Amino acid sequence: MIDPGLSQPAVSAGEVADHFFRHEGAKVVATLTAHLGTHRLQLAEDVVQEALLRALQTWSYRGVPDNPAAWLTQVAKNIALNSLQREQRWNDKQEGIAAEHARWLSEPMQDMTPETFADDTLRMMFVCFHPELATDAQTALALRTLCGFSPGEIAAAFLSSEAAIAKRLVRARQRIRELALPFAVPEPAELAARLDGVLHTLYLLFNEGYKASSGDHLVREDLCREAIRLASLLREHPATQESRVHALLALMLLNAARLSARTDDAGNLLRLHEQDRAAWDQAMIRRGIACLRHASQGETVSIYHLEASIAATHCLAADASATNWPRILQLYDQLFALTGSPVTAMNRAVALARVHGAQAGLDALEKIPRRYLLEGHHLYHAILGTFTAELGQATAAITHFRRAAELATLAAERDFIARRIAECRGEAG
Amino acid sequence: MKAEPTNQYMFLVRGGPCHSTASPEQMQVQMTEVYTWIDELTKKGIFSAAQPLTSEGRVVSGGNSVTVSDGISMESKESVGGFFIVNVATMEEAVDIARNSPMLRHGKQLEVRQIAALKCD
Repeated sequence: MIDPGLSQPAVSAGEVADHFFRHEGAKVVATLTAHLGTHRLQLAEDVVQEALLRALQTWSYRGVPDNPAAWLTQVAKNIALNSLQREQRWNDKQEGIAAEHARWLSEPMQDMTPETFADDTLRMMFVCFHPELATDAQTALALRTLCGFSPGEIAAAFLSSEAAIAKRLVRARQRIRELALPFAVPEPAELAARLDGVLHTLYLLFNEGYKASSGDHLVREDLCREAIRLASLLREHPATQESRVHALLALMLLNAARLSARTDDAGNLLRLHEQDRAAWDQAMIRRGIACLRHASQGETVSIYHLEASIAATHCLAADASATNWPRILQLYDQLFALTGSPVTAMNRAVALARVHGAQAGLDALEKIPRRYLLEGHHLYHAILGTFTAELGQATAAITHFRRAAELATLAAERDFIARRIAECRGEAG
Repeated sequence: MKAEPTNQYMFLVRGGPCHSTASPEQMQVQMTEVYTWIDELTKKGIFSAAQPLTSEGRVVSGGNSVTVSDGISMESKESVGGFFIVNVATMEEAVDIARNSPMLRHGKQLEVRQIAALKCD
């Protein structure tokens, strides 16, 4: 008879968390890199891939073990040890495995607690988001090692080719080796500046998902969700619980909650007053508001605080007409004081037009310092078109919208602008 | 004592390891498909047991001079990665269940065998 222990496997499709393989694998890549060194990042990724394949083979029959990351770590360690020993046998001159690495790899399992994995993941974040790496290398590397994406999945997210992403990853790992980047959370003196860099790249990663130009809807949600997950890890770790971390997370949650409502079923972009507010994710909005409240206990106000507050003001309006535009304008004033960027000034002009009318908006656009930087931006021309259309200047509006259509890169954006032109024609005719 | 057929059938799963370039997300999809299949069989009272086998294995053979060899490599399409046991009355039903296994789509092959029982008269 078969061992009675075999008869009841704890298998249930519903019990496996979404993206479980990605995230458990990523934890183990961090832990292996902690022990093998950042110059062995490629090896860590390879052996974790192999360990995940073995997990798939085993877990498919019997369910997932209680501590899956520990299971994966043990398997990955064995594969890494075999691989390093083979490497050493083949090439004596090769820098062999350091004795302490070999010891860790051949040791039986120590306690692998959630805290161990969280510590290693935090350090891995400071490696991936190192300022010596280019921004696109940082985001690709983060998606690969911290989020468990394949090069093909990263390529889909950035509308790039798999080969290009693979090359980018190879270069990034090479750079890490050349610089001998330490696998560590920066020293207190350095931490604030380094954390700023990490937050900025996470912010870019989120925006890559949030902006419509990333294409596929599911892929965009993937990026936003991963940025939120990494920001949450920073927020939960004692070393990085700063008010601007809470603020960044709030900003992400309050925007992601409205992501799916920004387009209709056919993929058409919708304006704020056209969106179905019932489709906003209220649970996520509540989390975002709670984060923002937490962030506000700090003494400093970062751009993340202000952008989160703007998003919160939208989220808290019962409908588009109830939006507190004077409050939003005030927040944009503060934001512009911090960034001084023409894009902030452009967004501020939209809020200004809602409070003081389209003419005031137009005047504000004209006064933007370094306005030429906006000329290549389709949104700038679309906003000009909107203001002039509201002032009844349909012919001028059509000219602005046509310019916007020429600059728009996405079909959904061009369709959106075409609908505005059709509206102007209706009024002019 | 004679061997009586039981109402149990075993699926031996062959087909070597999964495709090594599958992304973690694709691996998860595969595992979830298998779990959904097992969930359905469990609900119907058909599922009995399942067990994976590790890649460790030896083949012991010979009469007078026994040899021990490594056996079939895990990489081989022939290697058995695990088994399932289902409670059904006929070979036809067992084959029908195997036919609907998601593992076929994952490049696996299922050998369906009836389990024999020893029963006293």
